[in-house]
Amino acid sequence: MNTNGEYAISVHGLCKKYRGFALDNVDIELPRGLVLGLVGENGAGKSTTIKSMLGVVNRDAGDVSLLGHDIDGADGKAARERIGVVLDEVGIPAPLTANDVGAVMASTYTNWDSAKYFSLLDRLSLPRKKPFSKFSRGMKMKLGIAAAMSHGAELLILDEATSGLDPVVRDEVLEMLRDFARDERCSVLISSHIVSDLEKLCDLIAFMHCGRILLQSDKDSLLDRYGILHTSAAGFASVPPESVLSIRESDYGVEAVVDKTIAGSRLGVGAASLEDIFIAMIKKGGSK
Amino acid sequence: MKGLLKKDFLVLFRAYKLYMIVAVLLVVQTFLSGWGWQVIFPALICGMLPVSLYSLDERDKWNTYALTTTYTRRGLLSEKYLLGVIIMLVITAVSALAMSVYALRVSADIQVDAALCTYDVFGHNVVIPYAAARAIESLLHSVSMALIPTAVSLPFMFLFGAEKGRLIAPVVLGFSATLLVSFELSRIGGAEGFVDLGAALGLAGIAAALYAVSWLVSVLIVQKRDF
Repeated sequence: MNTNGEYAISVHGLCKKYRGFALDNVDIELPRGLVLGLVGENGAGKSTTIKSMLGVVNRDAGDVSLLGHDIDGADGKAARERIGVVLDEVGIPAPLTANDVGAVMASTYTNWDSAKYFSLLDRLSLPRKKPFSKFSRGMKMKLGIAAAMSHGAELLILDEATSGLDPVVRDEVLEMLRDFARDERCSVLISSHIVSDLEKLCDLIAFMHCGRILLQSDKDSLLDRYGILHTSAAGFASVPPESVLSIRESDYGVEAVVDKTIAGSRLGVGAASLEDIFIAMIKKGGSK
Repeated sequence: MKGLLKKDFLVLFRAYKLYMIVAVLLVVQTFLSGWGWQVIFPALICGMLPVSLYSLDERDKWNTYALTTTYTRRGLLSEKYLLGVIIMLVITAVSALAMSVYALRVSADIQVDAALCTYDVFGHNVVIPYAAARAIESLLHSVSMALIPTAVSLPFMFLFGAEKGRLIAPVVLGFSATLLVSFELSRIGGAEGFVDLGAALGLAGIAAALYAVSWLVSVLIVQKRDF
């Protein structure tokens, strides 16, 4: 396991078993300064992976190092001081106001920066005296992000932070994350089933399905490697079967997601989105 | 721990105003009528506050979030026990103050309760006015009633979650009430004008021991729990 700090996140052999679901030897590596998107359908195990990494859920097996520290070891607290987390359900007590959250966090983090927190509240147009229970889903998420970004975090971990947000707020959130990630010391792990969000933001992509990581790759290589082939049924016959991830046939011809490194440069191969590739891999059974 | 306590006090003042008002009314009653049963009720009401706050934490997913910050499982649960002790101390102190004010206010009539009680403390005879002995007894009961509900309930909450764990609350309150009634009944058979401070002290001691054991059990439970 890498604990020298070269990686913001280094997870190896992570296992967690529940009745009817298991995380199976999950490996994730996020070099410092990059943004990793963890993509998976609902129930794929993204939240369990994140919670297991953070020690919220007890692991059955596996090693986790965050910012070079063993998260469960003696220096785990030092690592947590430099990590900001936003969960799907933010977790702020309903009766508290944004002002209250600032007061609580000031006593939680050694490096809490009140000035930064309040400037983020203003930037995000968040009311300071309204109870959290009266916040909309978007406001809740934004408050969670403001809290996560106000103690000098070098690693942000966000679990489905953009799901359920309207497009305007989603764009706002993604912009904040982009700003954060511009600092080369700062890294982000963001999980989502909205692949288009991750496509805009991430340097690296990990696909997760049924508790397993199907692949982890840099986004550009992935987009370079796979494409969508539009051809006739006769034309498709010449395509090597091992290059085909998924196929959709209709009266108008064949549309297939193909591995261009195997299929070669063919006329009619267009760009595939991450969503196309992800869905194709799931259909293929996660063999790539 | 400081942040956790701050969070709980903020939630208390924002979400449990009614509890506070009832507790204050009961304390005011003590100002007016002195020592007796009513001293115990604020403790009994406020003694359940750590349990109620834990339920809110679970509903709001605070525990999950807190564990992603600098807090540990042990820290999370220890804070609830510490909060219980703080609440107990505040309630006991306020009740003591209320009884003292009452004693000063009715000092002209205090002769009514001026009988003396004699106690053997490590071989020495200690003489206390009956009224003071009743006040001390009330305060000791107040300590017991503030600690027992939390001590019994919290391990169940940590083990089964707030939803199922809460089912123990009526049992705990019933148990606490039974203890108090049996104390009052035992007074009927005892010597008139004598307050059994030893029994009250014993009960407070048992409550404190139960509280400590409960904390240890909860530490074991919570280490294995997923949030």
